[in-house]
Amino acid sequence: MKKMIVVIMALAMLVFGATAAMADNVGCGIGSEIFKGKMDTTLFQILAVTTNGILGNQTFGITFGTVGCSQPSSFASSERLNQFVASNMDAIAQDIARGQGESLDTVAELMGVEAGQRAQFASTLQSGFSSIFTSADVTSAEVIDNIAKVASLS
Amino acid sequence: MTARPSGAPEAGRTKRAGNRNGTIICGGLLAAAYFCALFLVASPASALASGDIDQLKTRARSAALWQSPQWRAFLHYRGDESVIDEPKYFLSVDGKTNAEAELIASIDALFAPLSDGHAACRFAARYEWLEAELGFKGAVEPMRDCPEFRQYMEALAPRSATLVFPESYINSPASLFGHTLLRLDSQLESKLVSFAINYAARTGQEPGALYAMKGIVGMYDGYYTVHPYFKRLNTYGNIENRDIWEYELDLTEDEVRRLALHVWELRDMGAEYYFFDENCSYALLFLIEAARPRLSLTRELDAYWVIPLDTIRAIDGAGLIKSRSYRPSRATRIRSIAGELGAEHLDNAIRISSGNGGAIANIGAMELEFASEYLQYLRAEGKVGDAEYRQRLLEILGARSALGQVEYAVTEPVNPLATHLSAQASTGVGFSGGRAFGLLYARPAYHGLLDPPAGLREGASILFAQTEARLYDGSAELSRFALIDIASISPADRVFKPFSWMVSAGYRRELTSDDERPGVLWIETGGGMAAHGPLGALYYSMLRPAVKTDHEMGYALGAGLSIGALKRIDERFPASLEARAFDYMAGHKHRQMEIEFRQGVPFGAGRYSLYFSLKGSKLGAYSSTEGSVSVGRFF
Repeated sequence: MKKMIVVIMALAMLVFGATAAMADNVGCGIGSEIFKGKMDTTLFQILAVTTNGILGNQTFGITFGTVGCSQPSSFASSERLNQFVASNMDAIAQDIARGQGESLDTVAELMGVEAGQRAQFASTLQSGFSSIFTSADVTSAEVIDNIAKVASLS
Repeated sequence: MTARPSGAPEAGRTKRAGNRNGTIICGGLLAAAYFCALFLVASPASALASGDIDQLKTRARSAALWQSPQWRAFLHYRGDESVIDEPKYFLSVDGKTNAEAELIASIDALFAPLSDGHAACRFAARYEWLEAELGFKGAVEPMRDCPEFRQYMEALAPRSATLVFPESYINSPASLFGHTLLRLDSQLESKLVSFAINYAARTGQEPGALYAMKGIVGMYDGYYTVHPYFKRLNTYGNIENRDIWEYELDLTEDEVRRLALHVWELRDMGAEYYFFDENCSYALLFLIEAARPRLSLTRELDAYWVIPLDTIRAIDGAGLIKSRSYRPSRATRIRSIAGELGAEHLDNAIRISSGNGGAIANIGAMELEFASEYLQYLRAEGKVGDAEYRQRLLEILGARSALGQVEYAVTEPVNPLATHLSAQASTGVGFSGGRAFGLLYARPAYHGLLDPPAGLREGASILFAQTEARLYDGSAELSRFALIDIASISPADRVFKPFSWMVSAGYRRELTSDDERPGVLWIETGGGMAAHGPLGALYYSMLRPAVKTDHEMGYALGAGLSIGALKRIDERFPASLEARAFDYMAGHKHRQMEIEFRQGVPFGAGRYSLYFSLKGSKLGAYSSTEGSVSVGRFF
């Protein structure tokens, strides 16, 4: 009986086996948010909740580095802003196109836009969408510079 | 929820009046000595002579500081020992099991002369607390010279704390248990750039079943991790499509600071991770207790089962929840937008996202809202390539940006705190094959399809160790022990097309004649599809391979088909009707057919429920009817 259980489990592992390949796919362009990658066989998804695997190797991700991404050239950006934009390009693009949203508010705050100016900021960026997201390959650094230009931020 | 009494003596500082006066005098002398030292020695180093450390230790001993709830909270003591396994967390060799030794060793290390890699650079929370408790005020705080620690505190700048609860996601009944993480907010308005503390296991690349097993038996180490909140939202809200609840905690700024300091102490300190017991949510309770040690959260829940929702209940019970807010997942946003679109517009929007034709010119803002979110969903599922995705997203958003703002309604679901408690016991009466019985039923966890629906996804159920005993004519018998019974009936619609599945295994008695109820062991699994239909019910159909033991031939192996409907009448009263037919084709060849109606009637604010069931069965040539009514209580 015990042997049968072991055999069944081994077979189950073979059939359902999926590697926990969770690529922390952060780049500098659109589409850099993590996507499921290989961890989408059903059994893995069902069981994945049991342990909550750690994202990447670092336990404390408290620095604002953006590995391999260039810095904005004209806007005096902060590390925190660079990281936020690099990691949230899609959400920011969506919010700018919609003229509202939490990611857009965050960008506004980190770029030093006063609370009273935010509505204008959002509306200006919405009209200038194609001057900000100039191509499918636009980088986060370019987006920050373009936003600054469109919104006339120094 | 049964609680094991904690092994530790009730905490409380013992103070003797005489000694208290002595303490003040010692403190005064010490302060004077320092002032002189400062004056004479112009160096900023807080050079404590060893005699002074001895005084601190004496003070600590006479106050029995190691018994204080704050100290035990810092050490993560549960009963007589710490749950932390990493030896580096303890300054004393015996620190894991001896709180006093750890206290003395900490005083030695923390009040030693300043140096590189000073203990206070790590144990900042302990330092600040001991400094206050022992009435010691150094000329300079050692943490001033700890660059990594300062970088951490500057990045977090913590002022308030919020408990975050991602709910279940589709086709994962196990995720009904939920998860918790803790977000520390700074003075910034945006919460996306706050940092979130998440307790997670460091796993390897092993396949699914092994991964689960290791998590259950503690073969992984758990660590506290700190990452920007937006990363967690991307994972939980956008990729796993879990709705998220945020409960703001009523902690003072000082308490939040102490919590943050304590998290720093725990960096890279591993403990064995047990899915059921010392898991993600339990680990966070230690952090909250470190902030406010008079809470007894970890002791209240010092039980075998720790379900994340129970930890939130404990926190709520302690009066710590100030407010709550709801954050819909991407899938919920997609469904909400779809609700604003007619069928034709929805189909068009889906086609635009999937790149299957679809006209993008002259369509409305709402369709483009849908298309943008849905395209990102497809990307997360790996259903669209990278270059194609970027191109299409920009096209959709470019068109969207010309159309102003639109709003769509998102219905806030029932607060998870309204969910029924996880264990249940019930009693009732019934009849089976013409004979009456009394019944007793119990199970430790978690939620069945007929249980009070508030706060839980429809069609998802996960049940462990269901036990039912029946009393016939004065003789009692075990009628059923279902080790596991898990179902995920997930509706497919125009937008999402999940499949549905179930798995169950255990022991049950089957009626083979008026007087015979032999027991069998069974394992069954099933897969199929479900969709909403007429009367607002959820209809499903599944193919179910099954195997069971058999008294005549040893076993019976076959497959079944089940068709059923579920409905939460008035959103409150769950009903189920299912017909199932099994053809056992190997071993003891026979057919088994059943049609069963069941109804749950919750009352008492989700604390109790009535259950009705009626079932017609045909096993081989024998037909019978069974029915029961019972009342259950959740606890």
